[in-house]
Amino acid sequence: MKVSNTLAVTAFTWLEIKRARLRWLAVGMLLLGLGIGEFAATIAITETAQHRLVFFAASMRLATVFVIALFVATSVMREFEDRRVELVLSRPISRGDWYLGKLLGYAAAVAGMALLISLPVIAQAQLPGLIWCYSLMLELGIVVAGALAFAVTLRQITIALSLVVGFYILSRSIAGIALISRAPTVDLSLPSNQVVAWMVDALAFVLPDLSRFTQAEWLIGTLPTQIDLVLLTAQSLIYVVFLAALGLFDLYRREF
Amino acid sequence: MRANERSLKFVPVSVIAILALSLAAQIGFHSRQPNASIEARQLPMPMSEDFLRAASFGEGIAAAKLLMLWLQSFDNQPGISLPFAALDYARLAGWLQRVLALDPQAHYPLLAASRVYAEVPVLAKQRLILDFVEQEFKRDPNRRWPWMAQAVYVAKHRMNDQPLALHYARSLSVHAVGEDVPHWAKQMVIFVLEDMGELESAKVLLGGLLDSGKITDPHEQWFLSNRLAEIERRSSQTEADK
Repeated sequence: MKVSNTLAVTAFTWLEIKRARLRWLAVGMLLLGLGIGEFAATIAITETAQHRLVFFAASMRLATVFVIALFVATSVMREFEDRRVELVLSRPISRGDWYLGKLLGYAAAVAGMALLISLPVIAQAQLPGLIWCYSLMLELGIVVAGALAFAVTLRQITIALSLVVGFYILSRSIAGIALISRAPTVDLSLPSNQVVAWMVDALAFVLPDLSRFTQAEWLIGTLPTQIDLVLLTAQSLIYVVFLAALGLFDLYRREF
Repeated sequence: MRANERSLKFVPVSVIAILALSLAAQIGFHSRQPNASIEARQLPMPMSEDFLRAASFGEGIAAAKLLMLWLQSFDNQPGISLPFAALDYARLAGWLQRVLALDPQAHYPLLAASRVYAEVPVLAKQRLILDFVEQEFKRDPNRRWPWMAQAVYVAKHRMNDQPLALHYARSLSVHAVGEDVPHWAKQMVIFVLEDMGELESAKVLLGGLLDSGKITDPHEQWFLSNRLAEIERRSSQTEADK
């Protein structure tokens, strides 16, 4: 693998993102989010600033994840369908260069998008806002890696997108599901309940616990500790590498 | 292997190694994470009815059903079971009121209030939730009378608060006047008075009811006449004891 090749693919990915006018979509989302936050604040009888902040943050987190997953999956699928990948790989560029170049390009784009989306949050609560923004970048990094890996592996836009959405929802709720599966009301002496609890535990081992990321609570209440942030960073790095390796594994096996 | 797939030997060893190592790292990372903390959450403040209507995108009844299920499962949060007594009953009543506002035909909120939440062994909370039942009963008494009758039962037998039972029974007889409301429900006040030892009042009310001709069912007439005879017997005995 050559760094210059990877960076060249990254530059082309950036060009594609620029042409897709993703920044204007981000601005539109930002305005919509501000509207949602303001609407919530007008309804609230008290704690209006908190309502504004929390509704904005929670809605923007979901919207950004959805838009990014959609963009990455469709962009990669289009590249395969237009046979642009084959054109690039016919040059002295390895599959690894192409894959990492794409991943870096998308990761840089989501970092910019997360920063833009977080501006109102940072303006209202500086340190919590910056921490929230950093966590959003980490979370979006996992989503980008997932969307890229699933698009390369599954080669069907509908299936790839459904899988990204399912992966995200499951990752956000897996901690709660694991707790419910072993709740005091569940009779764990029954084999069926034991199997369900075991399966949920096994799933929790291989999924990132996204419920620990980008919490709106940080903006109005307790901030995460430094250890929490280190753990979030470590989780993101491990999972992005895992998903990248998964995507690369399939890309190397693909016959063009 | 699919037709458009190459053999595994085309995958660089480094990619396979990274895949295996990152999976092992993920499993190791997860096993070292502290378990998700189990914290009992309190009921949030009820949202405004207008907000809930807007948030339901016009599906008010569906939102009411969903809210009711959420409320019902609140005592069984992930990994923890909360006793009903730990719930904030003022907020609980607020949420039940929102559900009824979204779906006025629903019986579920009043059933839950009078038969589930009113069973907690905390008098203040029982009183609060039964007052809520009475307040909502008055909005549609001819449909919601069963839950008011249940409130009379809870006040009388669970709370042992006879004056409160009498108050609810009077409310029932004053407001639930529809033809579909059975006479036993309308006349619960008589039975409460009887239990309170107010035999004269019970006798007058029961005698008046039988004389009014409103009771047409022979079995009901027989039952109430027997009851009147029993009250008269007890009343005479009380007089004799004096």
